[in-house]
Amino acid sequence: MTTMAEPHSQEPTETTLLKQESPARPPPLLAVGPLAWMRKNLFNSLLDSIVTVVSVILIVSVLISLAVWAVGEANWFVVNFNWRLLILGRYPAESEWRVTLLAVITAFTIGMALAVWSRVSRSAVAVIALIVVFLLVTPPIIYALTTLSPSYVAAGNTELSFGASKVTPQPQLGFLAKAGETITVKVADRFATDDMTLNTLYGFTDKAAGLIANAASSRLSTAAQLAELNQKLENDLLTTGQRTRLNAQLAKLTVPAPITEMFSVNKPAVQVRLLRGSTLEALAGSILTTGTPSLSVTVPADGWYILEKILVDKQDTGSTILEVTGIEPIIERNFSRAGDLDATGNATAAERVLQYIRVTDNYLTEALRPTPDGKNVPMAILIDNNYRGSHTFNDYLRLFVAPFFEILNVSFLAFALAGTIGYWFARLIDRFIPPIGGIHRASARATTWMLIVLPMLMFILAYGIGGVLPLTDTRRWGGLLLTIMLTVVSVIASFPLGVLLALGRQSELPVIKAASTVYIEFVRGVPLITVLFMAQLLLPLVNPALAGLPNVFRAMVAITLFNAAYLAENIRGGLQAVPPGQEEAAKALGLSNFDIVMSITLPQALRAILPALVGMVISLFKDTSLVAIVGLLDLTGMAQNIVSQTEFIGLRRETLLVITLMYFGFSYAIAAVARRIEESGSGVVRLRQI
Amino acid sequence: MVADSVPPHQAPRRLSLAAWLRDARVLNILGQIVFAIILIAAVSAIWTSILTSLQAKNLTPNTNFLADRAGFDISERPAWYSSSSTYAEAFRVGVENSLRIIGLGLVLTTIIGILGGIFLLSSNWLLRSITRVIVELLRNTPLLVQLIGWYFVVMLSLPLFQDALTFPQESVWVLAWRFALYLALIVAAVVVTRLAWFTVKRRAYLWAGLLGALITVEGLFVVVPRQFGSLQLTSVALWSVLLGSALVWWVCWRYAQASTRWRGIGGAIGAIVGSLLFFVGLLPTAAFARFEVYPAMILSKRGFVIPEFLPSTRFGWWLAIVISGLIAAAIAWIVLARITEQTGRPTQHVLWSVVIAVSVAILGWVAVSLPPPPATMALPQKDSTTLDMTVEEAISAGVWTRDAEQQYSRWPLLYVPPVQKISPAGIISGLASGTQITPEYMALLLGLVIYTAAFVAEIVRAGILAVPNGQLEASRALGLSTSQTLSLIILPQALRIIIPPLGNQYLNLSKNSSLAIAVAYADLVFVTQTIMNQSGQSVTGITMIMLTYLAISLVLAWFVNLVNRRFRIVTR
Repeated sequence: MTTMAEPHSQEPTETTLLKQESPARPPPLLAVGPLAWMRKNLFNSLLDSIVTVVSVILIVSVLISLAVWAVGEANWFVVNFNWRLLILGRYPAESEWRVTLLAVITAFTIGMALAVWSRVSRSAVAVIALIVVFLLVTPPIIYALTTLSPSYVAAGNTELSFGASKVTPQPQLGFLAKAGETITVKVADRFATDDMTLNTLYGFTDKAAGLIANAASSRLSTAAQLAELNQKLENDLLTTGQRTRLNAQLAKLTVPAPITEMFSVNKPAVQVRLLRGSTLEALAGSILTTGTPSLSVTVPADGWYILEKILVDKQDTGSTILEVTGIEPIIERNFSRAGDLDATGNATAAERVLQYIRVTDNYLTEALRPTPDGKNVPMAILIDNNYRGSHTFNDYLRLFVAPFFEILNVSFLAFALAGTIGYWFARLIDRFIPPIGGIHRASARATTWMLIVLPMLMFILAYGIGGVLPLTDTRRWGGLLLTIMLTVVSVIASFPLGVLLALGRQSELPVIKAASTVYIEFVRGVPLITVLFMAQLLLPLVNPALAGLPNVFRAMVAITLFNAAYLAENIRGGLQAVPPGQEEAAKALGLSNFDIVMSITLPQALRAILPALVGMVISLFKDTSLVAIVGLLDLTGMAQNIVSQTEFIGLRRETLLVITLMYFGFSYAIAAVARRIEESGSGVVRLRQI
Repeated sequence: MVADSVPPHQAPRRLSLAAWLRDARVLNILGQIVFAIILIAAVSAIWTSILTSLQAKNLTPNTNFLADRAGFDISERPAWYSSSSTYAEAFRVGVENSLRIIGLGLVLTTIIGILGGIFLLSSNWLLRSITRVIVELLRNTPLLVQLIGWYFVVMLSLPLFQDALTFPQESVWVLAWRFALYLALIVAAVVVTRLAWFTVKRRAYLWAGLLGALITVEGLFVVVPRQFGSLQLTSVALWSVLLGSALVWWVCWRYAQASTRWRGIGGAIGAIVGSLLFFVGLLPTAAFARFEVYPAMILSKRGFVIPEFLPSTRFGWWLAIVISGLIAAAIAWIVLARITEQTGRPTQHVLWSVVIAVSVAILGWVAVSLPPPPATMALPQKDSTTLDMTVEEAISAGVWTRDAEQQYSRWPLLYVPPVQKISPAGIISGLASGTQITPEYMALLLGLVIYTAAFVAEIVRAGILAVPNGQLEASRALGLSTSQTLSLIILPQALRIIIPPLGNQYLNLSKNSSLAIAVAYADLVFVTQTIMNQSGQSVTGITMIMLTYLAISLVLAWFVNLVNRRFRIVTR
């Protein structure tokens, strides 16, 4: 610096510089704040920037397509309607209170545990409260503010046929309505003009109206395809094979006549009557054509109603699409409320119940369908009446979100309340009961006992106990209940065996060591599915008494035997981590071998392997899904079972997504608890803290 | 003190039975004997009762049934298997199918898992977070559910075979002369940017300019005319390109060092000549070559179809040459590595061995395919006689089959692209040639690999994080490059931590492959279950499955131990 500077010119400048207090300038734009963070973490180098841009594009496109699918395309009825199956399986409705009680006790215990070992932050309380309020408040708001898009039904005399599909419009349509609801009917003149408008029709349609609208869109897409093929053929960069195939495709395509003309849509006049289902008296009636004002009726009472729609001219071959509000699709549910299963696992016929449920708001009735002509009136049943087009957001909220929240909100509120009560109960008993032995808080003792008792309570409540609670049929267990039962029972039952195996493998006695090692290594070398098969096939052969053992218990035995080997290895790791001085000191004190294991080494070993044990519980929780392969209806098996029913065929994505989220939620929650324990310092650290 | 009062050699040895029984050693032995007796009794009691129950059903476990006719077909089978094969052969097909999944699965899991581990440690926050979310989702949901999703949701929503996704798409490719010009320009730019004057920044400018010029030219003279009819050359475009070339030429002349000046001149002259030729008007769209491209890969609901490579009669020769080349490469590697070790002089042993192996393989290919095929060949005719004929005659007679081609081809390997069977009406109905990978195999492979890779990614991340930061700093202080730091410092230490849990994941993958049953892939368990259902030999069947998995587990564990020993810290 100095060598380069010219002395006579530099000196005065330097002095002024030194004297002046340089003004405090803000830091450069890219040095602090979000921009600096982005530069450091997202655009650090050229490659980094490219990766960031590509990831953002990917995430945004995936999220958008997921949202479009979830709102517009997905049919969440499958989840709403099978929610009970997914959670409880076919658990008898009369015993359902036991599972509810169990869930409430669990929530209560979780509340106690939170009070004892953790602090619930205000924000967490606020979030839970917000969720509860949101779940409770949203459905009424949605019902009040939104109305379902109109439904469309077709009237006509002749069979409509287009392509391979053929439908004859039904003269009558049965539907459910509640007192005070208004039904309006008019000709769907919005869609009469041409195929383009017909193609834009959306909402629930009956088979005939759906056929007309689909025919219109099929015709339009054929025309578009034709134009595309012609454009492709103009391109000279085609191989000979391609050209032949395109020409062949072109030859097959013919654009039919406009659909509005083919079915002379909305030309005929319709005689519409609204009948009461029970008495078949007409509430209203009029002749509708394009342009006539809509027929509007306010329903006097809850129950079945019939919409009758007959063309005025009996010879007319045309058809008219009616736009109806207030008629919503129904699902028919045929199940057994209670009682035992017969030998094949089906409910006995005497116990069967027939229910009709309106899918949009779960309005349920057991009233039989009206029979005007001696046979059941056709109804707006879910499989026949599909939603045409993508759901509007409005319809999505009304059809899926509000009913789903209604299913969830009461139970969620109950759990939140039980948890809160548990929390305050634990804090209160500390205030009134002094610490036991001067160290242990009463609440900690109580919670520990609750946690120990809970699994047994779970089994006793769900299964029943001789003389006090009637036994439930295990074939009716299913869904999340079965998954949790399998996990809990297997973890608890494998503990004694696992400890014995671990001690056996650590033992200095060669025979015991060899036997334990062989068992552990054998089980760890084979897949769980083979052990499950073995239990299914071989257990009945071992003893005739075991042949009557329900499938669920066989699976429990298999998972327990399997898990014990893994548990044993974990415990062995923990035993090896206990310093040898501990055992030597215990021996020097003259403790017996049994006392050394039970009071000195094992407790320390278990504390040391707590994280590994949690990992094992999570993997066991996931592995219980394998029982679906041997025919049990756990969460996975139930999902597979649901999507194989006629009503829900093709709705696998929705079902799988929901059970995936359930599995993820539980596993992630267990992992979070484990992290919490690890951070608070398990074992030795905690002992020192007390 | 005790020894003083009662000397041991004088102690009276009274062998009373009671004292003997109180001896801990004796008790231990007795206890073990009792334990063994109880264990054996229990096992044999269980075994006997199983046997009795089975005998009552006339299903005494045996292995004789394995020689019986299986009578069922397997969806995923080699050519030799048919429904008239034996149970043993069916079992063998199942085992092979399982091994096919496990083998490829292990390789892919390792690659994707390591990639995931690196992503989890990326300095890019977004990449790191996305990977974290995906890994957590995968690790916390059951594999069975994922497999069902892969098969029933992903695979079955692929397009129908008629509208399959193909790569590359069947089309006509036109190579225009201007592509040669672009290539020349790029080569010129590579040469020019090697000049000393070109700093990283200036090199980037040059490349950006070049890319911009290419896009402009393509847009102005190819895309725009195609859309809007022909567009006349504007003098502005011509002069801007000429001026740009002149600028490059001047820059090279002005700043190039005397010794490398000719390169700059060469590059600039090349650019100018290229530009002039371009604007003569011949080059932009004139075709250099025109050829038809057919799909090499077809993806549809029916699975994934890839080309077949069939060995011809000359394949053996080529294979021998390739193997000898590999041996030579290995020798070069060893020799050069030893020179480095002894003299400390760096040698490019990796580069040289790769060059030797690749060049020998290429030269071998050329040499083997040099002798022309015979003019006439003995070909089996339709009436099962053999006749000498030329290829043209054979094709016209319709006896030029794939077998004949395989026998007489001049190339060591025949490339057979996947060809869709097309009816005269132009409808795609099936597959004429190509290797088909079934959707079941793909779903199982994808599910297993991605699930296991999530665990491997976590292991790799933990392993790399476990290497102390001081190691990294020290290697930087020594002046090692990033790649040297990674390959010589970080990875060897990380591998030591990674390998044991990685081995566990390998075992998990091999055992989880038994979930094939969920996607109806004909693996060991699936096939054996069919065997058990048909023959009633459930005990034998389950034993066979378990023993096979045990064997696979043992082999894998042995292999992992071997690798682990290789990477273990050598201690005295």
